[in-house]
Amino acid sequence: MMEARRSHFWRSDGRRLSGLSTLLLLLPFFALVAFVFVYPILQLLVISILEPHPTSENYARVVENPVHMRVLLRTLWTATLVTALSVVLGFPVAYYMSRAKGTVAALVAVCVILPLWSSVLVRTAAWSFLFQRNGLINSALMSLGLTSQPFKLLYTQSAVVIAMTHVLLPFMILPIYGALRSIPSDYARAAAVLGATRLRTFLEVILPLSLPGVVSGSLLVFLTAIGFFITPALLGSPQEMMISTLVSKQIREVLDWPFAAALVGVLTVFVTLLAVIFSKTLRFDRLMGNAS
Amino acid sequence: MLKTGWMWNSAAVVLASVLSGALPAAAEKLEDQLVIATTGGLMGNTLAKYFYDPFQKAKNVEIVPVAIEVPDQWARAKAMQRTGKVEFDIVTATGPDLVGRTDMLEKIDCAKLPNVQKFGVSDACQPYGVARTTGGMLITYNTETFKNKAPKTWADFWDVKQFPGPRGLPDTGDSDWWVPVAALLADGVKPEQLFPLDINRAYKKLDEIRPNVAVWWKTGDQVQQIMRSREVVMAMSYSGRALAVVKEGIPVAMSWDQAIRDTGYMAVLKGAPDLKAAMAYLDFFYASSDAHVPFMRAVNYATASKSAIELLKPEERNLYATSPENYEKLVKPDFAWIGEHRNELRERWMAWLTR
Amino acid sequence: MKPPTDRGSLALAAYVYAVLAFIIVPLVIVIPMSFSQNDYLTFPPSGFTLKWYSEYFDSRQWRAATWLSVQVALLTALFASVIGTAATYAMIRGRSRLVTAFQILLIGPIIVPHIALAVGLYLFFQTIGLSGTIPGFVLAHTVLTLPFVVFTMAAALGKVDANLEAAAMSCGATRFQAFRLVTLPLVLPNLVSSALFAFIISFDEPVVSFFLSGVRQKTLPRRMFEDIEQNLTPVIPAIATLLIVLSILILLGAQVLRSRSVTRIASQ
Repeated sequence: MMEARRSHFWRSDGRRLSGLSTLLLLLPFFALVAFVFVYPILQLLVISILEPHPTSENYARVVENPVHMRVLLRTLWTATLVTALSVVLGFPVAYYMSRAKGTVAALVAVCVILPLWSSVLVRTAAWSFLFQRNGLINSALMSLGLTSQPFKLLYTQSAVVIAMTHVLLPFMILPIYGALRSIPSDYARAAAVLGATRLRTFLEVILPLSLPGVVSGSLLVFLTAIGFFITPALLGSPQEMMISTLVSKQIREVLDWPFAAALVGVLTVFVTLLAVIFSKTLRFDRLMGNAS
Repeated sequence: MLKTGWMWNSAAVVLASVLSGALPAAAEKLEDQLVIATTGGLMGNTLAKYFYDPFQKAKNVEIVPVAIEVPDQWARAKAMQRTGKVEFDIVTATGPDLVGRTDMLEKIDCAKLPNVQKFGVSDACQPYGVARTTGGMLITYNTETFKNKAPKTWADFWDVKQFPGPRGLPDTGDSDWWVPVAALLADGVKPEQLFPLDINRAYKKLDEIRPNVAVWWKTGDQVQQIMRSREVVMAMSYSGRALAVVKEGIPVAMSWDQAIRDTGYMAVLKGAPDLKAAMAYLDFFYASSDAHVPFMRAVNYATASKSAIELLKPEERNLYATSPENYEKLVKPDFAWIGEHRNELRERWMAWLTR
Repeated sequence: MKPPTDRGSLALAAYVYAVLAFIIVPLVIVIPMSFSQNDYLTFPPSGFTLKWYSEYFDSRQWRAATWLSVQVALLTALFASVIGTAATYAMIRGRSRLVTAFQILLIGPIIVPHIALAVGLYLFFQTIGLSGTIPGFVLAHTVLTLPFVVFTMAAALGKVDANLEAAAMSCGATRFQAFRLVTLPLVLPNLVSSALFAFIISFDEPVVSFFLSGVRQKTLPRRMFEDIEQNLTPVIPAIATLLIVLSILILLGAQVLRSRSVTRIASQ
């Protein structure tokens, strides 16, 4: 798998660069990433085990304090909900997109891709306007006579889940779309020729073959959702705090950096483990290729 | 050369210290600039108009205002002190900060601030801060919802049968003691017997109101929004923010009964680069009572100026925490106790809130 | 695809368009709100005024934040496209054993939560004085945008026949000349479009900027976050509308470039 990807992406042919030139061309990249990514993350992990003195205390506090465990579990639960909702909303769109042609296809593609390139902050703010007690959703429901009392929507867990799904949906749709597109159209035709109904063709041919896309999209959404900051910070309630808000509180209000570092450490290690376990299904090239 | 220079310098130091005891701080040579950190928006703009600009003119010191929320300000101040590059001179502190964060603050010699002594109320100058604005954490409520009977006390705030509807409580700043204090008052504890706080009793009472709290607000702007949009019908609010909503013409009123005194102090950061200018500004703040009246009208908070409150019309006075009538109703917190028990209060608050 | 006639197809189409509405409505809703006369946000918005736009353009603070973001985004686009293209070229034409390390370090900044990177950089940059400075923002944003540049350029460079360069070199061109004269013109549209994307990612980036912003140096997203929390007026929907227009322009630009690159590479 790794080799296959390599041959696709880092294909080397023609006259190769010398080792020295290769190194020189790669040097800025490695230097930058080492300085701005690897070092700060490592420093954070070091702070979490060395301050105020060499200790496992900061990590013990994450695990032993029920508050922190609750926040951690709630974060995982929220991410799971967002992922599930994204699959349910995203799969049909990806399927439709993979079979559409011409103007329809372009229109759908724009709808999916435009949000990806518009500001997360703008989208979150938009949801906060929609969710207000006298916002669009409540106004609409009341003028349709569906409810006489406005619902409390803003500062709830549902608000956070819906807005995060909105922000992350393209990360689900694009990998599934990629997987669906790579299924040769002969397969469906062959199944039809053999007498399968469309539903059966879908369930027994298309769905299994698109699963790698679903897994890849789900992982992307789940991993991003775990560390999400802006949306829970603006739309959530402290009663349903997520880990990133807790980290921000520790850094900016309680001023307990070593403990914040430990929280971030737990988060980073967990996410990295997941990414390593599923490294074969995570197709970033597909996402990035389609996103632009 | 070197020797004479040294002699001149020490003579100047001696002279300066003699003079500074006898004369107002203005006689000293001040630094060129002064960095003041406080919340932006209305407060920052109004301070600039009535105090920063006149100070710049009078003392030829450039004021650099830094708009920042108080918790963030402490985070940055801590980082600055950790790296030894202190940028702020004057910071904004709450009562408990003056007790709990003394390691970060410069001690203030009240004897060298004659104007504060002369024009400020008796407790305006504290060892680590000078009072800037005083308000109260009070009950603000929708007057259309509660047409017939208005809530007055924290017991009413807790009484969802007589006063039904969603509530708003703060999750910011000092909510870790404001809210428990309100709960104890609602449970019948007398204001003078509040401290030391019976935390377990407070949280038992808080469990009762929890299902009715629709919003835990994070900023002053947010508490205004939720009162306007009727996201809540009753909230604990900064008195200044409640007053701002009242002035907008929204059907909202406030009750000063059992309001918790909330004073914002100006404190000087340890290692402040412009120490002399900072101290001169603290004194300057109280020098002119005339500036305090329009300032109070604009920011909706009272300063600790003795004379300014008397310059207000009697009916206007009652909008402020320091009017004799309101000040009597205020709950005066024991900042020393809170400062010492800060971690405990905070952890309990977080644990309860995120449950 | 046959026109959807049966019930299943219709249901699918209806569902898909409902989801697309869910995606698009929040982006569209900010537009009418930006013209509202009220000082605070209500729905439906009342009246029509352009005062929130003029407030944005007239405010020194908003202009300062926007200018900072523009500078940071331009420099980020420049650095990310140069460093990213160099690295991609090396990976494609070189004989490097660093493939695995390269992939991990490339994807790392996307996988590791931005809050983690933000906090790490906050503590690190504070100690070396990069916090709240343009170089600080640019370094951080370059790392975040590199993956997008690399994947775009890898796809483009992969399509360029390496024999073209080889031919140029056998005629006496150096490697760099061959790249500059043969390969670069072919992939230029992709390079520009990846720079455009790096620009917009940096321009909209909220989390790292949230922590790295100084008390005086604030990026536009950080200013917006503060105003949403502390001073919410229709200025926010007005800026949001402008940002959405910017996104659309950038997407259009990239689309035009992409169609040009396809024709160029196809006609070589």
